Amino acid sequence: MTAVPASIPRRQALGFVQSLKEHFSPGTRYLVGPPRRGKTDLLRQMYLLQAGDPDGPVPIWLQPGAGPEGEQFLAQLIAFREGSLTTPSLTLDRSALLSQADVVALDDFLHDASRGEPERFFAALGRWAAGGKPVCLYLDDVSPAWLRAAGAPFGIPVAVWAAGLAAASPRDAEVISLEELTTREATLLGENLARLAGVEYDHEAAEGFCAYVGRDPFAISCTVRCAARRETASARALTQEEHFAAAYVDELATGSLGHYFESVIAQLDAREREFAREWIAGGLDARRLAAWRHRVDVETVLAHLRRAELFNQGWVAARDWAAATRDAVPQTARARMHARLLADFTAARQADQDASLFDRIATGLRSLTPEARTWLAEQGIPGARVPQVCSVAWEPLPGGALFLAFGSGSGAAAAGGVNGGLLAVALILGEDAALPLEQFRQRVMACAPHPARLELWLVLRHPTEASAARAREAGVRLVDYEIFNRLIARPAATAGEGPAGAEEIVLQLPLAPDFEIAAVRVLDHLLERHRVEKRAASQVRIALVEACLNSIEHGRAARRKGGQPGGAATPAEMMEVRLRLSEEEVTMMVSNPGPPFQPKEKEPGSALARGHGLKIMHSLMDSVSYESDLKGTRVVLKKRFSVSEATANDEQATSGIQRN
Amino acid sequence: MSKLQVVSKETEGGTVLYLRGYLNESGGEELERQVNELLRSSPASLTLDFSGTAMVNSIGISFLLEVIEAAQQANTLLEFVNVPEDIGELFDLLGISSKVPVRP
Repeated sequence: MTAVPASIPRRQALGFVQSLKEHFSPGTRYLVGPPRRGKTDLLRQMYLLQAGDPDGPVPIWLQPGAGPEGEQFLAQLIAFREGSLTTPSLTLDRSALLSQADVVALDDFLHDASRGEPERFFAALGRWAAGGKPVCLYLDDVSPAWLRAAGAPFGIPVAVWAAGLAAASPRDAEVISLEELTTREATLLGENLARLAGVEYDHEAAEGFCAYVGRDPFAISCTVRCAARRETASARALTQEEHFAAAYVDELATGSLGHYFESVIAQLDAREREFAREWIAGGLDARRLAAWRHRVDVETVLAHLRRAELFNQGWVAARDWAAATRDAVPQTARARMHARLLADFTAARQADQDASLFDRIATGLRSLTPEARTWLAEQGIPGARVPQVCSVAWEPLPGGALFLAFGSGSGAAAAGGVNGGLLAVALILGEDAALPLEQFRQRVMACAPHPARLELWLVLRHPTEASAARAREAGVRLVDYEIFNRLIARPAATAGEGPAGAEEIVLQLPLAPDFEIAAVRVLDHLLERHRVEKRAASQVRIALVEACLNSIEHGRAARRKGGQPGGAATPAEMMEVRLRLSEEEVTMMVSNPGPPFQPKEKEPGSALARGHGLKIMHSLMDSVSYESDLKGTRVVLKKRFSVSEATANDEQATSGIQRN
Repeated sequence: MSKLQVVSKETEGGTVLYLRGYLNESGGEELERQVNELLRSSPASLTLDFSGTAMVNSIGISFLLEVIEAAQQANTLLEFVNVPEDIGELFDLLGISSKVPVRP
């Protein structure tokens, strides 16, 4: 077995690759390094060497980050069978000749794979593609999920080589770092490239450049290209800033930086790509920045570029690739431009007050008041279409925000309801002329847990007949803007106060078997008074039983320890059950004077079956917490629910649930 | 809520045990005792009827798991019938539904 080093110096990379030809060992190895370090190139060298060896493992190349994994794989596979495969990002060599039946079966399977079951995908890949031969799978730019799946057992020997950023290093793989060029190697590369381009290589600039962005072959070649361009007659006629812009456009169109940049922005939509190209090619002045802010979410695009390490958080910082290759431009000019852009952007953000509004809306969505629910019902929106308990996230949309409210998912929901699913609300505050309905739908579909439990709402501050018609066509429910006035107008609850209309009862019960029944009887009375829905009431009842059992077990253990097998319970042998209930929520606190609670292993048939009890409580309630101090232990259970509703009568046709 | 009563009846389809009341620790012990006694004769099938079961707690469920294992070892086909919705949800939650047929 080839000993895999922890890091690979670039000068030894080729030798390392060749050594792999002699040895094949199953396992997962993860090649890490910053972008443009050369990881992909190294994997390709390994792949090509194996492809040229008919007696070795079957090499398969897969680039999951390039698009829908399953569809891409299938397209490449079909092209390969038809002999039309030209420049594949996925290649099946030699023995991967599948029958039509295999392709059809794979097509069915890949629809599951595209929904995030890479484990099955890889298992099928091993069986179908290799015909029993060992496989060497190359994964470029993978997510940790794909890498974990790739490491699963195949049934045939499989070696996995994957490349990605160090931050995504999986725990189970051997991690190998690809080192940057040494100073000598970078100089040698630069001199060779400059000689080929017919220009003089600027060693001082190269040294400064390498210190700025790291010694990557990518960076070296970009520097040489800019230097070569500066030598042309047309470039000499330009002003410094004009040359700057021209150099960038040219580099983006033809150079290695351009290829990398295009691969990064491929995941953006058309308008965002246009913005990104304009920014990285020539920067933005205040006027253009202001114009773009109403067409794209500038921050989202810049965040995307930051994640790809195209520039750093501070804008004017190292690893700003656009700035780095502008060495052709005088330092002072570059600094002035960046400072101006930074000031303009900062001023624009400080003037944007929408973020605080969105936070308030998200809070309101997270805990809808009965009044808000009543209003929604009056608007013709059934309760089943509104999540009972939400975790809410929001992200900017052009002109507004997208709110994603995930409903409580414990147990099965009523057919068609969104509990356990997603309510997505697009709020547009500006003019709706450029209504981003398709973008809204695409973003929501990417995180919709189940198509049958998805509700799409559109809220417009300035609705028009045209926008209403577009919403209807798109299958999105148009909700009156009044909903947000109701959400953000709710009074803030002060600390220590429960919801309005809450009723609290405190019980002191012996720490003895079956006294949980007494607690449940009182709870049933409260649940009925507050008209809690039947299923939620049942869940709360079951959870209370388990919490009481927990306390009773502690009491029994403490009494046995203290040598008190019987007799009337003393105050130290009582549990306190505090029930606080309103139409919105229930809080149950069960306290006992025992030692701190520690979950124990299940012992079926005895009183220590606590594993089941804990699981029950955590599954049926929204939150379960334990508090221990010198006085004893308390378990606190909370659950939010809606007012009693006839869910069976809430099934009316909705316009919000469609899926492309 | 009454203490669990386990009532046995012979039917054409085999023995049916009716569980009436609260399946807690004491009820679970009684249920296990009766099931083990029945399993000595290695019956082909055994049915537990939950139509009269008011509530099941986690300790009762642990006894049910013991009963399931005992039936498997005796090669006796075990099924749970007339299971109320809330108890069925508990069975789903704790994996009982994957070990034995559970019918509402």
